[in-house]
Amino acid sequence: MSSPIIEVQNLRKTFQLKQKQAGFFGGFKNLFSSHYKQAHAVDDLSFSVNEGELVAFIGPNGAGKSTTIKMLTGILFPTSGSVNVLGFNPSKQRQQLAFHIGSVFGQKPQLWYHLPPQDTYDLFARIYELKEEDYQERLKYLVEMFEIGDLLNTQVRKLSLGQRMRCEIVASLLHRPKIIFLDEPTIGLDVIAKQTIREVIKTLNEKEKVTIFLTSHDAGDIESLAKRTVVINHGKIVFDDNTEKFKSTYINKKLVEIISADPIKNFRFPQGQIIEKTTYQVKIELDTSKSSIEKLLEYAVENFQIQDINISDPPMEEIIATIYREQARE
Amino acid sequence: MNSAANSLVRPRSLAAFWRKYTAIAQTSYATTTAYLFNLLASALKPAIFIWIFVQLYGATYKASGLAEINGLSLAMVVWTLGLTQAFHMASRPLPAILIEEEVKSGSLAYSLIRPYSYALFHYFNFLGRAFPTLIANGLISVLVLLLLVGTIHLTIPGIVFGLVLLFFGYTMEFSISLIIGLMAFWIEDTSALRWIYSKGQLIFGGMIVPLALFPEKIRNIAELLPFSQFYYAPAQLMISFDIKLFERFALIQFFWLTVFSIISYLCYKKGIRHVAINGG
Repeated sequence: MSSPIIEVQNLRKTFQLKQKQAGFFGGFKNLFSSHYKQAHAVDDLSFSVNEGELVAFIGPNGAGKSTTIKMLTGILFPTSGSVNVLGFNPSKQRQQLAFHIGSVFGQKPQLWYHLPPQDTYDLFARIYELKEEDYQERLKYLVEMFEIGDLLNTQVRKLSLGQRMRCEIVASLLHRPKIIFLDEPTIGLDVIAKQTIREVIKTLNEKEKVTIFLTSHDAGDIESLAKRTVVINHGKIVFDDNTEKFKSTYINKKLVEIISADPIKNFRFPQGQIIEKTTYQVKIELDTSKSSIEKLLEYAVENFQIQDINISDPPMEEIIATIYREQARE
Repeated sequence: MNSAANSLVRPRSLAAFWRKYTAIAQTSYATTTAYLFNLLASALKPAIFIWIFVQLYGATYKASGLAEINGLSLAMVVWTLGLTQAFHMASRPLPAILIEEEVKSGSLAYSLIRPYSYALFHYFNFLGRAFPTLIANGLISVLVLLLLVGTIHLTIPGIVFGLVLLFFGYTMEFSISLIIGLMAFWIEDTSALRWIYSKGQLIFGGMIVPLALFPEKIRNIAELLPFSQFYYAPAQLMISFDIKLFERFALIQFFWLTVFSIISYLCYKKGIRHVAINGG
């Protein structure tokens, strides 16, 4: 059994948020009296991650996911509690830890915008103190793996989001990190680009045994990648178990929206519950443990003149609400 | 740190340090020169100022009927101000603006997660950015100065010692700008501080009026302030070289550089605990 390489004990992060009253007089009053609200972004969090694990760390907006990652990487100082990553205390040994971890913050670029990715890679090779031969060998391997050979000499600003994201991930892997923190790596990507990113993440974990700590809003990322899922809400862990259990218990529903050329009348599919209906559109919540999406689509195609179909996962807030309901029942 | 971490600790090496930070400066240089037309167009800005100085001080000297004021001829005044503007404009945008943008956009996360010193990253980034702009500004400004006011007596020691002061002038302005930028860790928006700083530089930095034309008392005070030591002091030394003047300016620069380095170090140590990365 592998040993924990991330250990978090009773971790807390509290932000002081200045409260401002609205309006002219409110603004004037603020000049003389300041009122602060405490926001507990992370609240008594304890968990550990073993070497080689691929953990999904999920939750709604403001749940504390990114704050946790930033404390694990040493960017933010914890208010209290302890963090140990690869034996380092991240907030005290940030620079030493940085040699052994990689990170991708999906919404923030790390490549130099006006230069081709090759220039950023060359820079990172020097920043991470890589030997020239090791760097060239590693870059060659990653370029093939991520299929970015034709993008290396194109300015980053001219790349599509999907291309850029592949290049961003390569930048995080050049120094062979032992742990990679991926904060919403598939955000804003189309289906094909998402699939490509997921495949390479999986390969990295399986072939190179890199520990991956992934946050995402996309249930698809979790379903296809993570063996373990940790759900966080209001800074606390509300679920921590294997992903199969998470899927069967909480992501067993799909939202299917059907748009027809003719008015939709008498829509009857017992395994699905209609949650929204207009003349030409119907939105069904399908219980995938009772019926497949295929059967629902067969029924729709046979009975209506379909113009468009959208399939999506229930929002994270709904999954959290279900977790709370389940826990209350237990 | 436990035993597992001990085996991962990277030994410090001077060669790796040098390769790392020069790579940052090189990449910054490459970014600045990525759009050559923009670089050259920016270099026209000091040229416009030089034309204004020629009109303004030409009229002043004509009205006074003097060939020299406080030992400075019209050509010397315009050359000093022109070079000061060229040096000054090569330092823009200031690190304070970039640090504030990092704080606001949340990209600070990436700057803090790398195995380098945050301050030194910005310093070498600043030098790599300023160098090509300085070359472009310098060449175009000298050309315009020769065309509009003609030659003046420049000496090789004046240029060499002036460049030494200029290097420390850039380092001084970087360190004061770093302090202002680090204030963004607490207050997020540093535009008011930057405004006050820029006005101090405008008045006491010899940007529009040579300090040599100030009344003696004010000139002495202005020379002791850091603002004049960034770019005016190197320009003045290049135009009228005097080794004693160099020693005096170098001493003032050394004093302020020590003060600003200590303050910026303390600000960073304190500010890093206040960091709240925006956008998650």
